[in-house]
Amino acid sequence: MRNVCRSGLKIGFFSLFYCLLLPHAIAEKTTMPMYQISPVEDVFMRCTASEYKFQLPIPKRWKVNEAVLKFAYSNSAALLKRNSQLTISLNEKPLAQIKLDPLATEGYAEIKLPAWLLEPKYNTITVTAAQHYSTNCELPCVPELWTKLMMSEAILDIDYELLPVPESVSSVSNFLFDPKNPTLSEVNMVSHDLSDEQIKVGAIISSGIALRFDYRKTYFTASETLRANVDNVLYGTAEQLEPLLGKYAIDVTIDGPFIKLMHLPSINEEGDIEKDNTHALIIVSGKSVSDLTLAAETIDILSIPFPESSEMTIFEFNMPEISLYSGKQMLITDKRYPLNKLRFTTRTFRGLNAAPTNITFRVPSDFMIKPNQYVELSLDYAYGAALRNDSALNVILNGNHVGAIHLNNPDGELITGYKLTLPTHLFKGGENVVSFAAVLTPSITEHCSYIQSRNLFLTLFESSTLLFPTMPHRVELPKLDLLFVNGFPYTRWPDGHGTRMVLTEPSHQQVETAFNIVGMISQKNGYPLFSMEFSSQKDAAYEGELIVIGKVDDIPKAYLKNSPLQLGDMHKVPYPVFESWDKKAALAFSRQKSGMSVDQGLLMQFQSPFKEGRTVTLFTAKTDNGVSRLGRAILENEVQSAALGDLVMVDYFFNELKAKRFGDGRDYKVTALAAGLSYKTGKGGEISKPDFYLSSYPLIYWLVAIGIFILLAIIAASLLKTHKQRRESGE
Amino acid sequence: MKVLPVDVKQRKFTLYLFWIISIVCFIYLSSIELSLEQQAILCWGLVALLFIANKIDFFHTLKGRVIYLAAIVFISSRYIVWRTFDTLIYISPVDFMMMALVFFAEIQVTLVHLMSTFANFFPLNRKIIALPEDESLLPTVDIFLPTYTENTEIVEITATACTLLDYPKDKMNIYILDDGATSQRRENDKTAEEACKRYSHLQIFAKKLGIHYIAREKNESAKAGNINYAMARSQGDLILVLDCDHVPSKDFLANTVGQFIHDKKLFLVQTPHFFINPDPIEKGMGTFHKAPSESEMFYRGEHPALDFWNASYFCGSAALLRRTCLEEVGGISGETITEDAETSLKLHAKGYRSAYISRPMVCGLSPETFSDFIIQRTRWCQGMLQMGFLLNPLFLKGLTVAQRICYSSFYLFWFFGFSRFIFFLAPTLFLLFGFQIYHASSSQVMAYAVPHLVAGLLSTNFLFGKFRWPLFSELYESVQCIFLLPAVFGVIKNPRSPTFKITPKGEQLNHDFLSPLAAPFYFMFCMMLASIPAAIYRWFESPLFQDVILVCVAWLTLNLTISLASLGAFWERHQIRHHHRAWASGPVSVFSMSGEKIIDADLEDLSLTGLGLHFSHQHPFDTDDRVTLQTLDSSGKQFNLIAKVKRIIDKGELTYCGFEFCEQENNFSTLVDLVYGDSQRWVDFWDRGNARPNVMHVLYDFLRMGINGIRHSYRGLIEYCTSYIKKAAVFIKQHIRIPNKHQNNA
Repeated sequence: MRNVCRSGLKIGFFSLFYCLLLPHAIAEKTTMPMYQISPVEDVFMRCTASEYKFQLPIPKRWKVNEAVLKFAYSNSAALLKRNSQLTISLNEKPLAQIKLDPLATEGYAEIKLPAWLLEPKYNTITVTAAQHYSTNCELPCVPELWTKLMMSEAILDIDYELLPVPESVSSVSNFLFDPKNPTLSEVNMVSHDLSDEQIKVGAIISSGIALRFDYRKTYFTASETLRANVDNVLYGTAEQLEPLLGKYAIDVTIDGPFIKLMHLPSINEEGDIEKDNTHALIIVSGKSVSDLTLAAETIDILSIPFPESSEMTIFEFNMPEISLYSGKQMLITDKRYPLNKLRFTTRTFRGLNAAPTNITFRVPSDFMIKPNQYVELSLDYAYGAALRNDSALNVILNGNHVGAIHLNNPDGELITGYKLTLPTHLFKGGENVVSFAAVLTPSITEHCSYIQSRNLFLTLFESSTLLFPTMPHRVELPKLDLLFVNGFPYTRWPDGHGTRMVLTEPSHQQVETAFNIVGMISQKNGYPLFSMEFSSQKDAAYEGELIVIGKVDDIPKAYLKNSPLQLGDMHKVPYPVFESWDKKAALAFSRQKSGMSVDQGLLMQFQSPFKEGRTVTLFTAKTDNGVSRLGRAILENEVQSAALGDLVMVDYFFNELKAKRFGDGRDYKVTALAAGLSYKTGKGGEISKPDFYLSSYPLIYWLVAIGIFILLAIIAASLLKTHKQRRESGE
Repeated sequence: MKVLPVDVKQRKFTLYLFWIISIVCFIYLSSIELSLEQQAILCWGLVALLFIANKIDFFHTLKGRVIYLAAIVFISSRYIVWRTFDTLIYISPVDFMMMALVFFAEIQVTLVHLMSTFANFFPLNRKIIALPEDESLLPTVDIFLPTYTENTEIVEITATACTLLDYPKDKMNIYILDDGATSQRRENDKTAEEACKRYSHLQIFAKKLGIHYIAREKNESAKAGNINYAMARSQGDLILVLDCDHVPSKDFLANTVGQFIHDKKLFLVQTPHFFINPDPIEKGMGTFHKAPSESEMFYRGEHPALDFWNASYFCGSAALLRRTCLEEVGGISGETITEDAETSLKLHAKGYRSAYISRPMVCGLSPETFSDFIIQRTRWCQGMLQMGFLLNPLFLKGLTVAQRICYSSFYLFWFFGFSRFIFFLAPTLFLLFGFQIYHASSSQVMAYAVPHLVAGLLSTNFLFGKFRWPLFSELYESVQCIFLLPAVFGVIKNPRSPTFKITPKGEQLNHDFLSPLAAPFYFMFCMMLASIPAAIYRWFESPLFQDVILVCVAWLTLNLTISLASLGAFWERHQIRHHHRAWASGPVSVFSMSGEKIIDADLEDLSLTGLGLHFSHQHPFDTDDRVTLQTLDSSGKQFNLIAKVKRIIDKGELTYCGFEFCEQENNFSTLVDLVYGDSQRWVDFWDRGNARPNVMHVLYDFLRMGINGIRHSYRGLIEYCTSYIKKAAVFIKQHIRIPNKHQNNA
C-alpha cells in the first residue's frame, strides 16, 4: 500500500511539474471504441472464477488527465447477487466492483481509470468474475454461471494532453511514432519535388515511420508546405530545401546525408515564427539524391533510442542480408523453431478457467499447401497432480480445434517432446494463430466438497518446438486478400525488390496514396521497402510486379489488358448474377458508357500484361482526391477484411450513428468480386511461359497432351513399321 | 554394311529428332504441377477415354496402340512424379524405412509396368515357313530329352512322340539324356537302386525304339551340363530341346526348321509350352478350362511381342537351336539356374536372332502340388535375378536398346515377391503399428493413385485381354509372394548361391489336403484381418488421420479380396488319374465289334488310356461293351481303336460316355500319335473362346473362391487338429499306462 501511495505521489508530482512547465500542452478529449485500441472481443465469463485481460496502451507522448472505460454486460439470472460480482483492475490494482444482479441481467459499467495509474506502456485491465448460485456448497462450473462482457462495443473516453517532443533524433524510435498511440497517427510528408527519385525517398521514409508504428493505422499526407498539428517530415536535397528552411529560419548545415528533429515551426498571422513543441519536424536531406536516400534509409532503421542529439550526419549504412520469403513473423520451412523464437514465453495456465494463449506466425502466401503434409508441434509441458481424468490441453489453429493432449496422469508429470502432427491444409497462406487452451478439472468435485484449485496448473514451456515442412511455391492469383495479409505478391523479397509502383500523373494526392500503400505493406510485412521502384512513365513495360495508382482516365490501356473491369471509353463491367455452391459468382458482363462516382474508389488485381505470372494491382478513382481517399480507406480494417477476389469497389459515405458515437462519421461500403481470369505464379513470382500456360489453362494442357500423343503415334508407327518389316523378312 | 541413301538417312534423322522432341515434351507434360482438381479431371478423363478407346478398332492398329499406351504411360508417369516429389516425407527413421520399402516396391512395379508396356507393344505373328521339298537341303536335327528323376513312363511317351515327328528319319537323332541314372547316382547308396533300375529300363526302351540313350558319369551343371555333354557326342545342325514331359506333335520340326533355312543368323526358334493339366492354383480355384491359364499370357501375349523386338528367348524346352551358335558361346550356359534365358541373352548379345512361332506344338505337365509349383517359380525367380545381377542386360555389350529393356523387364519382374509382400503389409503397418508409410490424402489418392492403378489394369487388359482375366495376375503374384521373398533376398545376398532344383511333375495325390505352405500366408491373412478393428479404432482415435485411414482401408480391402480368393489355392486336390485327360473335340464314329456303325459322337476329352464322348442318343450300348472307335486328326489320318465302355452319364439331352482303350501297350505308339500328335488340338483349345467376364463377375468369382478357400481351410484345420489329437492319443496310449477297471478291481 505504501508503494502504491509512493508511486501515485511520484506520478502526481511529475504531472504537476509538466503542467507548470509546459504551458503549450493542448488538452484533447476523445471517445474511441476499444477495438481500435486493443484487440478486444465479446467474452463469456464462466464458472465460479473467471478472468479476462486486455491491454490499454498509453503512448509516451500523452499525459492522461482522465479516462473512463465503458462497457455493457449481461449476466445470468441464476446468479446470487450477494456474492457474485465483477472486479475491474488496472495493472493489478482493483478499481471497481460491480454486483451481478439476477434481477437486472443487463448492466453498463463505467469505470474511471485513475490517470496516475495509466503509465506510458501497455496497461493491463483485468476483469474478474466471481459467480455463485449458492452460499453453501456448489458445483464450480454449472452452465448457469455466466456473464457476458460486450467488449466489442466497449468505448474509452479519454482526456489527455500531448507532451513536448524531445528534440533528439532518438524520438523517432521511442516517442513520436509509437504503436501505443491509439488515435489516428498522421504524418505529413513535405516535398515540392514529385520526381520518381524523390517519391522513392518519401516512400522509404513512410515505410520506416509506418514500421515504427508497427500495427497502428498510419495515415500519410503529402504537401509542399508544413502542416500544423501533425508531425511533418521535410525531405529533399539541400538545394531543394533551402527556400523552405529559409522561410522558417531554420539554420542547418547539410554536408552529407542528414537528419534533424526539431519542434514544428509555423508562421502566425503576424508573420512571426512560432514553434509547436508537441509536434515534430524531421528534416531528411543530403547534398545529392544518393545522400538523401541514405538518410531516408537511416530513418527506417532507427529502432533504438539513439542518438540523443537533435541532428545527425550519416556516412555509411549497412543492412543485414535478406532472403526471399523472409519478413515479419515469417517461418522458414523445414527449420525447427523453439516457441520462444515465435515470441512465446513459458506460460502457466492456472485454475478452472484459464485464458488461452496464442502463437502467431506467418507462412508465405504463395505456399502450395498440400493435403498430405504435416506440421510437427513438439510440446514440453508439465501439469499438476490430482487432476481429473477429463483434463486436457487443447490445441486450436486459426479458431479450429485441431488437437488435444489428455492430461490423464493423476500424479502429474513433466513431458518433453510430445508430438502433435497437424495437417498443413488446416493452415493458410499468411498469418496463422496457434492457441493453447488448458481445461483443468480438480479430481474432487463432489457436491459440497472443498475444491482445491491451486494444483490446477499446466505449464507450457517455451522450449516446445514447431516445424513447418518444405512446401513448393505455387499460388493461384489474383487474391487481393493476400495483399492485406502481408503485402503479397509485392513482398516476396521483403524490401520490395522486383516491384514497381507507377503513378500515372504524380500529384500530392497520388503521392500520399503511394505512401499509404507503402506504409500499409511495410507494416504487414515488417520490413522497410527500400528496393521498391517508383515511376511516372506510364507506358513503360515492366516485367516485375506492378502497383498502379492514378485517376481512371489516366490509366494506360496497356495495363488494363487483363483487368476484371475494363475501363476506358466504354467500360466492360461484371455483374454477379448468382453465387454457386463453390462461392464462385456467375457473372454477366455489360459493355457500357458510364462513369464512376467521386465517392467511389476502385481496387483491382490482375495478371500483368508484360509478364506471365506477374501481378498488377490498380488503385484508381475518378479524381485525384478520390485516389487519395482510396489510399486512406485501404488502411481501415473493415475495408481490408472485405477485400477479397480481384475487384473491390469502395464507396464512401457518412455514417451518422458512428459520428454520434465516436465523432468521426466516415464509413465505407465494400463490394468485392472475383471477376477476372485467374493465373498461376511460382517461386519468387517466376514461372516459365510453358509452365504458366499449361498450368493456368487446362484446355491448353489437354490439347498439347493429345497433340504429343498423336505426334508420338505418327513417328512411332513409322519407325515400328520399318522394324516390323525387317523382323518379318529376317534381315 | 548396308549404306542408306541420303534422303532415307535424312528422313530417319528427322524422325528420330521428332521422336526425341516428343519424348521430352511427354516427360515435361508429365511433370507439370496441376491443382488437385485439374489432375483429377485430367487423369480420370483419360481413363474414361481409354475405356471408350478400347472398343474402337483404330486403337488396335499400330498408331492407335501408340496413342492408347502413351496415355496409360502418361497417367503412370504423372503418378510417379507426384509420388516421388510430393509424398516422400521424413517423419522418423523407422517410418522412413517403411515408407522407403513401399516406395521401392512401387518403383519396381511401375518400372516393370512401363518396360513391359514397351516390350509388349506389338506382337509379331510370324508365319510358318514351309520346308523345301528337296530333303537334302534339310538340316540334321538332334532331339535332346533331358530327364532326371521323372517317371520313366513320361520319358517313354515323349520319346515315342519324337519318333513320330514328320521329318526325314535319317536327318533326325533322338537322345534320352538321363541324369537320373548317372554313374554317380548308380554308385550312391541312397540312389543306386532307383538309378540302376531306371538305367536298365530306359536303355532297353531306347534300344527298342531305335533311339540313343546317354547317361553321364557325374551330375555336373544340372540340365545345362546334361545337354552340353550330349552336344559333344552328337553332330546335328540343329538341336531340339524337349523336357521329358513335353510331348511334341508330329509337325513340330516341319513348322520350325524352315525359319533356320530362311535366316542364317537365327539361333533359336521357340514355341509355346502347352499344359494338359491345371496348375495347383487353377486346380484349387477350379478355373482350369474356364479362364485362360497363366502360361497363356506368357506364350500367347508376351512372347510374340518379344519376338517383335528380337528378344524372344529360350524357355528351356520346345525350342530348336542352331548348334554352331551354341558352340560359339560354349554350349548351354550354366552361370545361372535359368540356363535357357542366359544362353539366349549371350547369343542375342552376339548379334544372333531369335524367332517365336506362336503355335502350341508340345504338350507338357504343370506341377501337381503347390509346393512343386513354388519350387518351379523359385527357380525361375532366382535364375532371372541371377541373370540381372551377374550379366546385367542393361549394360551387356552387343544388345539393342529394345533387347536391353526387354531382358531388364524379365529380371525386374521377379522382384514382385518383395513388392507384393510389401503391398500386403503396407496398410497393416499403419493400421496396426502406426507407421506412416504413404503420405497422401484420400483426395490425392483419388486424383493420382487410383487412375494409375486403373491405367495399369487397362494396360493389362489392352495388351493381354484375350489371354488374361482381370486381377488374375495379382492373384498369382499374391499367392507366390511370401514364398519368393526369401528367394529374392537370397539372390541379393549372394547371386551365385542358388542351385538348380528340378520341378517334380506327374505326381499323384491320393486325397485333398491343405498345403503345408499355407501357414505363413494364413498368418499374413490374419494380420490383415486384425487391421480391420485397428482401422475402426484409429478412425475415432485419430480424426486428423481419417484421410490416411480411408486410403489404408481401401488398400486393405483390395488385399483382403485377393488374399481371400488365394486361400483356395492352398487346398491340394487329389489327382489319381494316371494320365491327364486333355480337352478335345471332333467327330468320332462308334462301331460295334461286328463293324456296324452305332452312333456318331463328339469327342469331349482324350488321354492315353481312354476318351470321353457325348452324343444325343440314349444308351445305345451298355457298360463293359466293347466297341471300335474311329476318328481323324486334323491332317486326315484315321485312327481305329478298340475300347471298352466304362461309364455312361446322362446330362440332360446329351449322354456322356467314357471309354477305356483296349490293348494299350500294343497300341502305345498309335495312342501317343492320337493324343499328342496333332498340334491343331492344342490350337483349338487355345481358341476355344472363353467368354470374357467383366470385373464384377471376376470379383464375384474371387469371393466364391474365397468362401471355398475358407471352407477348405476350416476343413484342413479340423483335419490337422484331428490328426494331432489322434497322434497325441497314440502317444498317450503307448507311453502312459491307464489302469483299467479290472485291474482296479483286482
